[in-house]
This record gives sequence, C-alpha cells and structure tokens, in this order.
Amino acid sequence: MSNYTYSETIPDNFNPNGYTSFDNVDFMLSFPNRKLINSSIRICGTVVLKQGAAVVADEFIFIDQDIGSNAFFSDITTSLSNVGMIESISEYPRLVKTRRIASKSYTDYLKADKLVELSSPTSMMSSSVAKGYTMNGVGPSIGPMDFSFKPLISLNRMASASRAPTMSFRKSGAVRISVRLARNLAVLFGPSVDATSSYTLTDLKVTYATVPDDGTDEPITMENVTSIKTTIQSTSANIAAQVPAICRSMTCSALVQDHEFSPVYNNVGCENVPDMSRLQFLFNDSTNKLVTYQINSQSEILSRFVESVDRSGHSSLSPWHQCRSTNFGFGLDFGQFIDLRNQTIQVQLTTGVTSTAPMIVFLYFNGIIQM
Amino acid sequence: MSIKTKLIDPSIYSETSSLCVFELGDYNTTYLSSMRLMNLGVHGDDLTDDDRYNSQAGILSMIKNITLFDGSVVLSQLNSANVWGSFKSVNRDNSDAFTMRHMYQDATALSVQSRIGDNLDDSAVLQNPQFPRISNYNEWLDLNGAPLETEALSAKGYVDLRVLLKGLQNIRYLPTMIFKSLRLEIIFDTSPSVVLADVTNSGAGIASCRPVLMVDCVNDMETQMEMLQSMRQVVFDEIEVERSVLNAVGGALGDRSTEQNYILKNYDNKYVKRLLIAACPTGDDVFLDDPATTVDGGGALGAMALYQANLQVVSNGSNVLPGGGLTKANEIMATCTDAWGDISTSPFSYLGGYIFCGLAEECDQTNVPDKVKQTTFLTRAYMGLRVEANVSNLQVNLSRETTAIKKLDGVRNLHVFGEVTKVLEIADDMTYNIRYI
Repeated sequence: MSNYTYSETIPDNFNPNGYTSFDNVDFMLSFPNRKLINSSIRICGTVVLKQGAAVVADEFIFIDQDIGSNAFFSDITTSLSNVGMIESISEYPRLVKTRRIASKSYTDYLKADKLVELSSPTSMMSSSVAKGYTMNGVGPSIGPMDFSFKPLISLNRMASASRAPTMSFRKSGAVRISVRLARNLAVLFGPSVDATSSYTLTDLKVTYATVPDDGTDEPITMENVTSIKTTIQSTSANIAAQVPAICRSMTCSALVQDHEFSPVYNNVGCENVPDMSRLQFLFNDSTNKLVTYQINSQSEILSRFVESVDRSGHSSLSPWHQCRSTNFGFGLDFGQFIDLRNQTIQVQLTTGVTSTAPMIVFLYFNGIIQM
Repeated sequence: MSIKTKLIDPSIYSETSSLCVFELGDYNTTYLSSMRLMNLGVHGDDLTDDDRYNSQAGILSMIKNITLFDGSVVLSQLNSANVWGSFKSVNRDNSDAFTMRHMYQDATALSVQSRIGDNLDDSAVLQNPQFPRISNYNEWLDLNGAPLETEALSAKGYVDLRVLLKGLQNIRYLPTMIFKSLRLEIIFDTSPSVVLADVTNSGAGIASCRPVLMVDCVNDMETQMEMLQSMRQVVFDEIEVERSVLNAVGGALGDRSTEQNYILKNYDNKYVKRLLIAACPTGDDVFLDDPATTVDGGGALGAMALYQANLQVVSNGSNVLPGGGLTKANEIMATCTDAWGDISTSPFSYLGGYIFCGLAEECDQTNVPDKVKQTTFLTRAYMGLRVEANVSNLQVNLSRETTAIKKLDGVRNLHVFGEVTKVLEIADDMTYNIRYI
C-alpha cells in the first residue's frame, strides 16, 4: 500500500450541468483504515461567468481579488459521522476576506497557492483570469478557468504534538462537507453587473490526501470559527453575543447595509466604520474576572484587528486603503482561551453610523475544538 | 571548538573547459557541509552594463552538474543543477524574497521576486494598468551590476552548496578520517542563451570566472571524534533527475497530442518522496523575440506551461493521482505547491501562456504592446506531486493540446526530478556505506 494517497470525491448530488447560486452541494469523504492529512482538503472546479446567456468577455465584472474562488461558497458546514457537526461557517467569503486583509499584502498574491484560487494582486487580474482562457487576448473565451482552494475549515486547521497532524477514520467516521453557493450579487460586482449576471460552477470536487492508519491516536486540536451577523444604526451601539465556543480572539468587519448584494459594491468589502472614536470589549476571562478593553485611537483599532488574526503584523492595511474605505476591521486577541459558552461578550462602539445609513457588522470568533 | 574558514582554489580549471575540480584533502580535518562556491559569474569581450544573468536562475544558470566525490564514491550529486536552481529560486514565499535577508544570504539568483509594475522599460505598459507586467526580478543582481568584459569587472555571486546538494543538509560533517579523498566536481554551462538574459552582446563568446570554494573546517581531534559519534547513521534526501523529450504538438487549435509515456528507470528500487517536472523550452522557443535575442524568463532552465496538460503518474502499476489524473492548470499548480511549497509566480507564468479574456481594451490587439504579449510567457509552470513509495516501476504520462502560439507547442526538454532517500552508515573501522532505502 502506498504511504501517501491522493483521493477525490464528487458531490453526492452530482449535477452534470453545474451549480449556480443558492445550490447546496454535499461531499462525503470516506477513507477507511487511513488517516486524513491536515490541510490537504481542497475544493476544485471550473467557473463560467455569464451575462444573460452569453459568456462574459469584455464586461466590467469583478470577483474579489483577495479571496478569488472562496467567494462562490457562502456557507460551509463540516460534520463527522462519529462526532457530529464540528463547524458551521456562515458568511464564509467575508471570513476569508477579513483574515486575508489582516495577514497578507499584495506581494502574497504573486504566489501559486493564492493564484490557484483565482486570487491575485489586482482586481483586474482576478477578473481577467476568472473570465477564462483566450488566445492572444482576442476573441471570446475558449475555455473556462479552473480553481482550487483550501477551505478555511477545521479539518484544514488541525494541530497536534506531531509535526504532521492526522485524523483517523476510526475516530472521525465519514466526513461530510456541505457547501451552499453564494448568490450572484454576493460574488460579482462592477459597472457591468446587473440582474442577469451569474456564475456557474462545474466539475466540482473535493480532493484530499491520506496515509495508512498506524493504529495510534494523539489528541488533535482544531481551530474553528463561529460567525455572527448584526446591524448597527446609531452612534452608540452595543453588540452582545453568546458564543458556544472556547475562543482566543474575535475579528470583525463591516459593510454599509445598502451595499450588501449590490451590483456595484463588493459584497465582501471591509468598509470603514465612520468616525469610530471608541471601541470597548467586555467579557470575563478564564478566572471569571471582568475584562474591559477600551480602545480610542484608530491606529490601535487597526493594530488590534491585525493581531486578532495574525501576530506577524504583515497585512494589507494602509492609509491608502483607509482613505478609500477598504480594508478596515476591528477585533481583539484575548491573549488566552476564553470560554464564551456561559457568558455574553459585549462590544460597545461609538461611531458616526446613523439610522439613515446603517451598517452590518460581521463578528467571527476564532476558537478551538479538541478531539 | 575552533572553526577555520579556508578558501580553496580549483585544482582543475580553465576558462575554455567546462570542468572544474576542487580537492579537499587536508589530513585529519572535518569539513562542515556549509560549503560556499564563490566568485561565480561569466565575462565576455562585448558584454555591457545592460547585460544580465538569466533572470530566473541567476548565476546558478552556469552550474550544469555538480558532484561531491570521495575517491570514486558519489557522496552527493545533482545533475541539471541549473534547472533545479531555477526552480529553487522561485520556490519560496514571495514576500520573503523581498527582504534583505535573502539578498545577503543568497546573493545569487535566490532572491527572485514576482512584482507588478516593476522592471518596466516600456511607458505604454506602465500606463496600462490592465497589463501589470509580472517581472522576474532579481534585486541583488540589478543593484550590483552586470556580467562585463573582464572577470574583475563582472558581477559575481555565490551559492551555498546545500541548495544544490541536498544530501549536505543532513550530512553535516565530512571528516577526512572517513572520507579520505574528497573532491567537488562541477561541469559549467556557459552557453549565452542559458546564462544570460539577452544574447545580443555575446557574439564573441563568454567564459566563466575562476570560482573559489569556501569551506569551514575543524582540526581539533576531540571535537572531530564527537562529530563522528553523531553520524554513525545519517538518513538524507537527494535530488536525482531523469531527462527526456516531450514531442511538439501540431494540428488544429485544441487538438490533443498522443499521450507520451515516460518510464523512469532511474527511480527503480528507490523510495521516492516527491517528483518535480519541468518542461523546458528548446531552440528559439527560449526567446521572446524574433530575431532571437531576449531570453524569456528562465529560458531553457524554466518550466514553460503546457496548454491543457493532462498529467498522470503511475507507481508500481497504480495511478498515483485519482480519476483521470490532473487535467486543469490550477489544479496541477495547487498539487505542486502542496508537495513542494509555495512558488513565487503570476497567472501568466503557468496558465498555458494565455492572455486572458479581459476588458475591451485588452482584447484589442492594437492596444497590447508587443512587449506585453511576449512577457506573458514566463516560465514557472512546474508540475509536482508526492509519491511516497518504494518504487519498482515509475511512469509519467503526459499529453497537451495545440495552441495558436507556435512556441507553446514546441519540443520540450523534460526534466523529472525525484527526491529519493538514502542512508549513510559508518562502521567502527571507519569504513562506510551509502545505500538507498
């Protein structure tokens, strides 16, 4: 038996005509007598962008450059038959976007592992690539572009004492990954986008790698995400959330409500919250002591946001981006694992948001689960 | 412990010969594996400030084969070292390549970066944001000069031999008590189209600069004995290569070539961890322009994209890749990065050499400067995967489709690099044995 095996699985609800917005697609991963290798799960497929019935060629239609093909999948749920559901991420594209802007700069998109997702350093490049192949830059597409990305799910974020974490089939049972495709206007944006703009995914499959089960099991820790979506519509807002997870940080981004599912605006845009002058987090720490973080400066808000994702400080945040109301977020690294299952965490904001231009706030709680 | 650093001149070398030999024969000395090959470069009578080394492989482009011998025993070896070096120069985090660390650490080609809007000499390109040219950029070489008329004037670089001789990453000590007749043999390639980024000024020919080997060594016996104790058995990986030819494709646009099957005999009875496949252009296909002067990306050392390639690897009679193998460009590249780590590249560099279906201006040929059309053919379309098996029969099956672009359809030199595992065992009587596992 080979030590290392590449495997792939097609959707349970296979559709030869492809999948479009709002479709649910289920993948079942079965690997008896073997162990799943951490960070080996990829979702692959091809994409065709259409305007009406015609394949897009010259139109100004974009997909988000930072997240590429992640944009097609609005919700991802992961279940193990022996354990149950371990993660359900809604607003998945925004999760990826939020993490990317806080941990990647444009040079990071000139790398194969991002380019294969259809991410790229410029929106123009992402758009061109997603529209498919042509020869010498002339004429219509001669073939759709494929993509391959590693979804940001628990099974791709395992850790253990050994260098290469693996999860045995004995322990997990079959793995089910269920995805729901995003609506067209959640993916596509730009001057040419209208009600007839759409995308179709074909040849969808999940690929993964396994090694033989050696009969040993070590404790596995997986990072997971819990997402909450809420709205603020006054200058003084209080967001209270009860999160069924043990978390190490929370990361937030916002979007003007009117920009959601708008053909012109990027649906995963992380827009500036106007005049944010005070940000306060209230929760109990591991010793049940009330912790209050009050942040009053913009630069600290941004640096705390970056730290909530990655401590390297490497990011896409810059004054240039802030001036254009892109790449803004806020968050907090708790500095320890906090059990939020039996308490309410509160985020208090003083901003320039009013009821005439309410904003949607997306909160992602970065937690861990153990197996 | 005192470590001495020595400079060793070649015992065999001439500018007109491709062979260069260094002998490491000091008695009762232990050489450390941190050997650096210095003063690497070329010079030529007509070379000017505008000339540059191969933009992907830098001065590594001139090392064709390199072998570390002990007498007649091969301790570590890499053939097609310049093709491998070309890969290693982009096999890294792109942001990391921007840092000073790599400029100093790998003052050769190993700081190649992918950038947008850089290295541009065509104002039309600069003003056209639809075509951010992705450059194969080597900051260090640009800052520090060019290959010029004489050895003294030419820009030169160095390479840590552990980059090329992977075995030296694990065989950290080379005691002459055990390895009594150490010898480093290098075969240089000084073909202008391989070493230089432009062959315009190489009509009078180019010659290598005289290299120097820098070694760190220990003479203290007590320390040497401690080192010996730590290396009774050393498991190490080595990069081996099998070369073949990928036939040209013809016919109408989209016609698929007959699948070519390569039986890789070189890997029989070895444990193969990973494979890396580079389909390198040949002849005039290595150039951007006509007449052929400017080398495209890594040129003959780079991996040019194969249009709609289908790749399958068969190990011991079983397909390594599920289904029909890898049939899509991004999937092929994704599998390669999963196996070998990240690759600094751009979409133009591996997606079959296409310009993409874009906006109105992009699709209008008159708005596309020739330089931009040409520079879309960068050469980083590597294919790779994990095998992780004891191999008794290893085969690669490859096919591709015809394009509308002649150079994409041409003959390729196929380099299949395999990472194999070996073990060095040292007996009490100081004899040793190297075998595959």
